[in-house]
Amino acid sequence: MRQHLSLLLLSSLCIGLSSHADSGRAAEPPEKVAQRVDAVVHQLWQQSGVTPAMPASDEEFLRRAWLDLAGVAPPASAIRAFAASSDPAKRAGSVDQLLETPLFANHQADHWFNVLLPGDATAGRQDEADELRNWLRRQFAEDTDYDDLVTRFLTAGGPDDAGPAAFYVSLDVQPEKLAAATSKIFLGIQLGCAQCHDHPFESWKQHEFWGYAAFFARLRSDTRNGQVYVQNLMQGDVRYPPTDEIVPATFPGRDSAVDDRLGNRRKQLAIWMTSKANPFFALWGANRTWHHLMGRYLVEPEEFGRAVQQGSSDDFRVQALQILADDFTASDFDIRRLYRVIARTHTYHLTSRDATAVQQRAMAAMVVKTLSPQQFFDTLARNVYRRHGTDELEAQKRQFVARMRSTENDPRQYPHGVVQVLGVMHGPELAAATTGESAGLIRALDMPLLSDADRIEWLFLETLSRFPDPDEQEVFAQTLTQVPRDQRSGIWADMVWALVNSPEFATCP
Amino acid sequence: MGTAIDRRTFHRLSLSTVAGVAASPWAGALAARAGNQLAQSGRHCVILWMAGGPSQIDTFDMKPQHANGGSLKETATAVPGMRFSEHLPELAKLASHLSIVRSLSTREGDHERGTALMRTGHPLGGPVPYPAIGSSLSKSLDDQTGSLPPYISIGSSGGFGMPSPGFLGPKYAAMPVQGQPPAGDDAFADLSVNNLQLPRGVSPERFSRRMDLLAAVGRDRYRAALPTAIAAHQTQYSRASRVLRSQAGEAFDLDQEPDDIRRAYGNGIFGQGCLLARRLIERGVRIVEVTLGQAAGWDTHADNFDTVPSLCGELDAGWSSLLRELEERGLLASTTFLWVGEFGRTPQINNAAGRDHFPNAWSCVLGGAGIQGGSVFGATTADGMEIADKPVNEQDILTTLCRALGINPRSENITPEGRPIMISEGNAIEEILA
Repeated sequence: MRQHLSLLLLSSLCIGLSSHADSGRAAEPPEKVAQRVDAVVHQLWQQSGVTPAMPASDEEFLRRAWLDLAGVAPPASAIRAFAASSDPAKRAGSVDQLLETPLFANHQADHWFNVLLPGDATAGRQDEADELRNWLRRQFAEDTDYDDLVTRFLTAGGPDDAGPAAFYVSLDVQPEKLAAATSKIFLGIQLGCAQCHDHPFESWKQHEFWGYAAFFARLRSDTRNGQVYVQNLMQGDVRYPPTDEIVPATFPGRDSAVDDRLGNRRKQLAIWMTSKANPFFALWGANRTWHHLMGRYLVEPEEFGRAVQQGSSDDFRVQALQILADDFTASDFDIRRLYRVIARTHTYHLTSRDATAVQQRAMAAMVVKTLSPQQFFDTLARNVYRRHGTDELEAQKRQFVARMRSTENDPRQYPHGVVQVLGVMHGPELAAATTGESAGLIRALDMPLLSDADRIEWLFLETLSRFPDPDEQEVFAQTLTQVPRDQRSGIWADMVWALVNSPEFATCP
Repeated sequence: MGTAIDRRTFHRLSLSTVAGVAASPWAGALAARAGNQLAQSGRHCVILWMAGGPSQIDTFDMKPQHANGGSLKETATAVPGMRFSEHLPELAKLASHLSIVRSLSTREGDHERGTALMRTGHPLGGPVPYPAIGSSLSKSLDDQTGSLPPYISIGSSGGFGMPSPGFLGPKYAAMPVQGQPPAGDDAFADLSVNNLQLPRGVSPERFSRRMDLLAAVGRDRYRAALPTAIAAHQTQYSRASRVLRSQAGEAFDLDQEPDDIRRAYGNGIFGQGCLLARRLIERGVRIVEVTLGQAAGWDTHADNFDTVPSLCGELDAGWSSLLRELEERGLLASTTFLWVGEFGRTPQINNAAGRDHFPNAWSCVLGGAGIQGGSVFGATTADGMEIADKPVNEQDILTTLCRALGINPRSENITPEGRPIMISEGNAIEEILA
């Protein structure tokens, strides 16, 4: 605890100093920051004795960038244009374009929705869940900086600021649950273990947990006109279970409690949490963004708390993360810039083909990530149905997401069981994808002047973001010969079915 | 048997195309697991879920000497000294397979909370979403080679009635079988699995063509190392397609059973569900849950004394038939039963000739493999209001169930946050373990 406090003071001094010296840093081109990160990762490779994978192909990269930044697979037109372009900066160009589309805000909203309301936390609370998602999308559409976003989220209250209410209500507005969840999500600290006993792996004590929980003690949920919101209270305390004493609101790592006269507890917490002097905030923000794009953390959660507390700089992973965190902080927590920087790294451009576990662990190859239910549905809707933005589609998306949600947060896993798979194979989404009436792609195939090979190619591009291999072309073309010409629309539908049910459609390379 | 392609023909047709996918990435998995499943090796568990809260004082812990006992009568069974409701005559003959626990005491009197408590061993709103015991048990017992999912729930009315896999995730969720009540007096309840049927407009040939196309996609892409996500996707699709196209899918076709057998189990959802449970166990399914009480069920706040005999009739027919048929097939020696609901009912009778929620002192029944049949454990007071002897709680029952199945109740599953959670934390009732 003691070394903790001094670390915070020290780092606040350092950052105070460095932010003057490095205010030029935020203006540093993203490529330069990316190169510095790559240089450290390169040292990690050498230390691990690993040969890095080859760079990803154009097709592979474009699918990855679209899914990671826009939440949908690229349309055939974008793939063809990208393949045909000889612009040496086309990959960076794609990333920049994707960051500017409304799809980025959409995807961020879905991504954070899954983090804030995992599994079946939304059961029976659909309206509040929708409010939260809309609130999130607005934040990202308005280019809100990360510290402002977290501050707004932590201090939301009142009937006109009901967006984040679903998060609070899903945790029963209980201080200990809010403490465990917020420390994990925004600081990378697994305080939850310390609820009942001193943390087994890190230096967090049980009393510190309850001091943090106290920041959420003066809250309750309320309803107006059927809408749920969170309300601040003037009173409210938590008690330390072993002694039943009231625990005042105390920041982890400090000895003295906050002064309740200085303001609302949640506001004080937000100021502390999002401060540039709080090393956990920027480091974890950078770590989770890296995880979003790379499929694995730069510094594993189990090691994160200790790495920050010890301030270890021997570890190349921690060094690389520090570069990202420093740039994130210097840019005043510009979210799009952080994504831009990471997407510029050579590490992000490596292929996932034939990657070994050793390579993946050392960031020397990309990891194949499973699509979230939202990415799956949005891709199906945009590329196969060729519709988007209708209320009907939103309702269908909600139903699909509700069926397919899980608490799994590791994108390397495929979390679905036989029941979900049967639901995908025979459920309403694939039914809509396989009739001309609802699937614009199938209707569009009727266009004259296309050869069957062209049509098969188009289907592969819209679903798997790549051209078919020769043997795939052969098998697919062969199927067309099995039926008379007037039944061919059924074959196109069968091809769509096969492509959408393939492992490739459900993954990001 | 109409002229349209029926399910049996579909299966013959789809099996004939298995050869067509021999060259595909599917072939390895399919070929390795072809052939009959070993239903006889390994253990099975049947959970008979009495939705609504079954009245212990009108079934297995009757009080004929007390006013609270009410108008229903008890009778002797095949086990000397063990007496229970006369409305369970077939079960009475099979009493040597049953162990009645009369001293169950829990603390949740709300349907949703009581259901969660009894199913998971933990109250709702805890630090983690705990899995239903069926999910934990199926995870321990399943060897991943079966054609059918290892955990199937029949006739649950959905909502909180449906067991949840909690932090174990959807892979360990029960596969739900929906039940429709019989359409007429001579008809049988209809049990079906969502999405097991081919969609309208998709013939068996068309489905085979789709699967062949699917097999061809990315066939040669992964030579050196199969990414985790791809491998897991292939595994789950492999399992799902096995359910669809192998023998296992026809397990759900109760039309294959002779009518007199179907009638012996009882026409309703519970009876037909017990028959389906037998078929599923024969095919290697590990955990089957059958719900009795789709509407108000056992929640007899009113008309207790008319409703309970009727429910007992369904219970008696289904459960006794299942016991007998499993024994005939040599499967009873490896199948453990748990009969339970979310709580019991008040010994005092209310103004509507009914009984209300009562978790304080109630009963459940264990039986089959690993259980000392023909026994009674614990007792309530003469008026049924309190436990008189050897109180046990929900954790103790679930721990006993684990032990009867040969599973270590203290073995742990890890939550996504890295927290170890034991399957069950109570004390096993040694006296009723075989």
